[in-house]
Amino acid sequence: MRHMAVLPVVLLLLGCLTPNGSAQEAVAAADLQYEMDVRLDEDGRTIQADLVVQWTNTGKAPTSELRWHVYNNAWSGPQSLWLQEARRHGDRSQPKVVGDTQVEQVRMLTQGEDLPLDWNYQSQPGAPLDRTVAITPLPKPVAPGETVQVALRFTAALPQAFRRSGWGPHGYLHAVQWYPKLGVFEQLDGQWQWNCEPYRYLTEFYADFATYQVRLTVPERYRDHLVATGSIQGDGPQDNADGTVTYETYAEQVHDYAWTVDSNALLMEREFHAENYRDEQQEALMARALGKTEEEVRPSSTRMILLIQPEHEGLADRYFDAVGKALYYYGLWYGSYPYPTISCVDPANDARKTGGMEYPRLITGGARLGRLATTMSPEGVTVHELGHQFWYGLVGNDEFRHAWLDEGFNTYSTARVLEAGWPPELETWSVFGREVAGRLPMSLPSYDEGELRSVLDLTRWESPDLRWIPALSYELRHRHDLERLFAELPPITAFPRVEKHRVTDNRRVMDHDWTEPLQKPTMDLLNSSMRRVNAYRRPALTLETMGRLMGEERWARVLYRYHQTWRFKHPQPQDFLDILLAEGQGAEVVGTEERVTIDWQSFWKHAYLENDRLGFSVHHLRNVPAPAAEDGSARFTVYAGIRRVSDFAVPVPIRITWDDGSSTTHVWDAKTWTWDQRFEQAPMRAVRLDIDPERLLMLEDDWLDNSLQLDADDEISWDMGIQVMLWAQQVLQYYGGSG
Amino acid sequence: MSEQNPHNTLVVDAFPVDDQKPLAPFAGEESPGRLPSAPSFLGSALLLALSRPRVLLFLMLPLLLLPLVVALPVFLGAEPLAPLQGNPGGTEIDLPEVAPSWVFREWTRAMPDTLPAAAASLPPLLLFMSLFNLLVTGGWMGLAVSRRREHSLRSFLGHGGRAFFPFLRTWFLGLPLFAFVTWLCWGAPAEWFFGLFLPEGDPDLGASESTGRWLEILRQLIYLNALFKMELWLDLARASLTLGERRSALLAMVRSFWLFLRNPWGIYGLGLCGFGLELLWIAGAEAIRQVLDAPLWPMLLILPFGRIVMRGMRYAALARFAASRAI
Repeated sequence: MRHMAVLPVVLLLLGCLTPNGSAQEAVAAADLQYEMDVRLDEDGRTIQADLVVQWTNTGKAPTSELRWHVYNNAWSGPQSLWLQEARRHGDRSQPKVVGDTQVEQVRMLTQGEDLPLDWNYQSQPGAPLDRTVAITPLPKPVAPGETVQVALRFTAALPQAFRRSGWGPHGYLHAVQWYPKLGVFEQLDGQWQWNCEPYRYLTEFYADFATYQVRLTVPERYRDHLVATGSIQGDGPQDNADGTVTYETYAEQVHDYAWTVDSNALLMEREFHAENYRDEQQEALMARALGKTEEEVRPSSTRMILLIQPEHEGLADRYFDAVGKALYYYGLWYGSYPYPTISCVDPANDARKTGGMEYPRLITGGARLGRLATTMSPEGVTVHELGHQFWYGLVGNDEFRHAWLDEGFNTYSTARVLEAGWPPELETWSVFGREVAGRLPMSLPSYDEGELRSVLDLTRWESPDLRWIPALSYELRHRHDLERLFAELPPITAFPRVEKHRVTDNRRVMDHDWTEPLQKPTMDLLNSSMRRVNAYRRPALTLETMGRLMGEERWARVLYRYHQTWRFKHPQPQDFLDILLAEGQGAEVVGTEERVTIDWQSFWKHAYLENDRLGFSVHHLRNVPAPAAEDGSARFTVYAGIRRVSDFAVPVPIRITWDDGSSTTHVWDAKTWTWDQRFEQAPMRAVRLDIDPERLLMLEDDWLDNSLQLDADDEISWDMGIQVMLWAQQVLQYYGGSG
Repeated sequence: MSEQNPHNTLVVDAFPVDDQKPLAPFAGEESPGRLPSAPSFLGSALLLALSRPRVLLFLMLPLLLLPLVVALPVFLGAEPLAPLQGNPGGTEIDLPEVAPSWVFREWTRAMPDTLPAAAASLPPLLLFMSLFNLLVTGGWMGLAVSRRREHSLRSFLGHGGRAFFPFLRTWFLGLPLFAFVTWLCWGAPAEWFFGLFLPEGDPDLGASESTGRWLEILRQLIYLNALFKMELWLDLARASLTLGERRSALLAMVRSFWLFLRNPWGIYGLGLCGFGLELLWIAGAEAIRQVLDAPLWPMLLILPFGRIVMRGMRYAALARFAASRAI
């Protein structure tokens, strides 16, 4: 407890030492402190802990209760809201071994008092037995500015690895959402109240920034096999008489605390220094955008810690490279990573469900053997999870309602980091568990059990129920990678090099139905598919479009300013819009002669508040011979037409290419439904019409109707056709010999 | 004797042309105890196949026409992609060598039915080819063991036609056998075997990722090998039907199974060599194309031609092998 008095001073010093010269506002973390004595049982699965929470009411209204997240109880049985919602969404998975948190004692320790408190779980509509939100009534209200201290004793049995949390049978434990954690007392819908939603299928986590002082006592076998959100104090763990070891850890300005132990994993450490990852072009851009020197924008150093499976030891360099590049680019674009360490966990094979997740100062990656280096495994997931340190970790949005504020921003940023830091990914096919670069031109259709069509491709025998013969359903052939190698001959029939570009790859979200607007709260979305659309790629594309329209420097300022303004705070979408409007004012789309200013309010209305898709299509391009010029040279009247196919109006550049190779770029404000131009007495024919040739509008629904080329050759048709024919020929040859 | 002028009457056939018994050289002329080797069978069968150009050309037809059913919709449907190649702001598109994946995604989204429909036309064609191959097998085997040196397409189709329905019975008999092998390798027995090494037989529950990977590789190798042996067994049964003009597919399966047991390495080796030669043809053709930097379209002719020859060689060799063992 004596550490508590030192904390505000430490935090103040930390604020002064922040690199990049950005001013840190008064940290809310001083208002919330967690101190825990934690003991991991010998089984490596059960945690017993004493927790003392000190909470200061920073709101403008009193409260007579405390509300707690007890996320671990989502795994306690089918009665939990999470598992019920999962079933409703068609996900029938269950933890093999349940998790459960039992709070044995709750006491208020304030002003020398020691009062027992009640601990009441809040029932949820449709899940009355859900225990992921608990309410502690207080004997008297806590007024604004007042502080209350509460002690809990609890036991948390974690599940066998399930949905980001838990243990593997061979010595791995990933302890996340393992302790009761306060919700956020803030203004919601005009009222000061606790924002403490239950753990739901479509949502993640939300809590206040705090200081954590955690003493972790673990069995001896976990010595030097532990990573945590907090920095390990001293030179190492303290030995205990009972054979256990205790780690003193400390973290501040974080809103969650996670830790991982794995008796089989290797622990490695390296230093991150920006000098090892320099991108001069980006540094120059940020320096210009922010009015600083390149040295000033360069991110500061930190220590990288990796807990990696022995059979993945060969991937250690790639993990560190991914963490390093992510720290560099995110730090460059948004401001340095402010913590002394970042830990990355390579999950155990038997606990893969804990992979691909983020916690303050600790991330989990995930890798598989046999992957090509160009498929970005583990780089892709590592960069993405590291990025969450910035979006969610530092800018702590409400993930119940506005998951896109972290997932969308991070998906956008991840794509840019991967494109900046690595060559393009390649599509692959696989054999013997190893990937080979290439894309097969087509896939054989596959049919499920019960489909009579499966008889046609000799994979199944399906026959209906006849009067004298019962229905039969047998698998005749099981398609597998090795057979595909011989049947489809991918070394010959596959397109050898198909490049995936992460930024453009986000356009895969166009394949999905955009049922609901981005403003719809995440927890109320229709299903998990909508969550994937609305939280991840759709906002990422929206941001990418904004950035391309706005221009690099201006956009760099928007993002930097937004991030810096809302570090260690909880922004709302309006907060981002405010900065967008302020910095984006005056941004234009520029043509050869025209310039059109972008109306960001309109853009926001269509992209965020409503559910509009953006689309333009070429309508016509014609050259009509006109009377010759006085010197006898040919003249043409050129007709060019473009349509807007949706309500989403945004200025769009249009390029006409002439038959001497030159081009002219026009800008259309898209306020009407068509752009219909006639060019009189043109000295040459127009040969090509392109809408948005530089691909500013990443939200454009269909790129194929954005270009028209007169007298286009059919080379690409031949290439596609021949490739497919060759593939089909080999498949027919192979299966022609079967049976 | 004809009543016509004897000087105008010519006896053209002193042998019974309908006699389909095995050719004498393969019915005991060889030295007892010293049978021809697999390369010998393959070599003679290869010559047999190559010396029937009309048959080869005929067999090329399905492999040139049927893939068009799949390829034509793709060819016609790729027209909207044409302007993409000139897009100044875009990534390089230089098919078939290099292209961005978004081209395929945009195309799939713009034509959501065309490509799946083209792919969906393939399964019935696979079934047709499998059944057509029964006729082809009968043709090659018939030519291989015929007493007469027959080169005409008519002879080939005659042998194939006569063999078709007996072979079809072996085809049906093969179905439950394939189902059994598939069940062994992918059903409960495999799950039990995996369970010896992995918790619940699930690779994602193993302490090590490598264990699951190696087990999976082993399974695929065993399965493919089992399928290959099944095909050899069925082909031997067909050879047995051809040799004695027999009709019972079940008995032919029994006989050929017994032959396989007595000559496992000979038959397996013959099949593997034949398959290996086919792979060599494929790899060689592709290697030469790469070295010459030639376009892809000649492979539409080179690959099927070679593979048809090799397949005919395998069937003919198996038939002659079976004949040499007096099955």
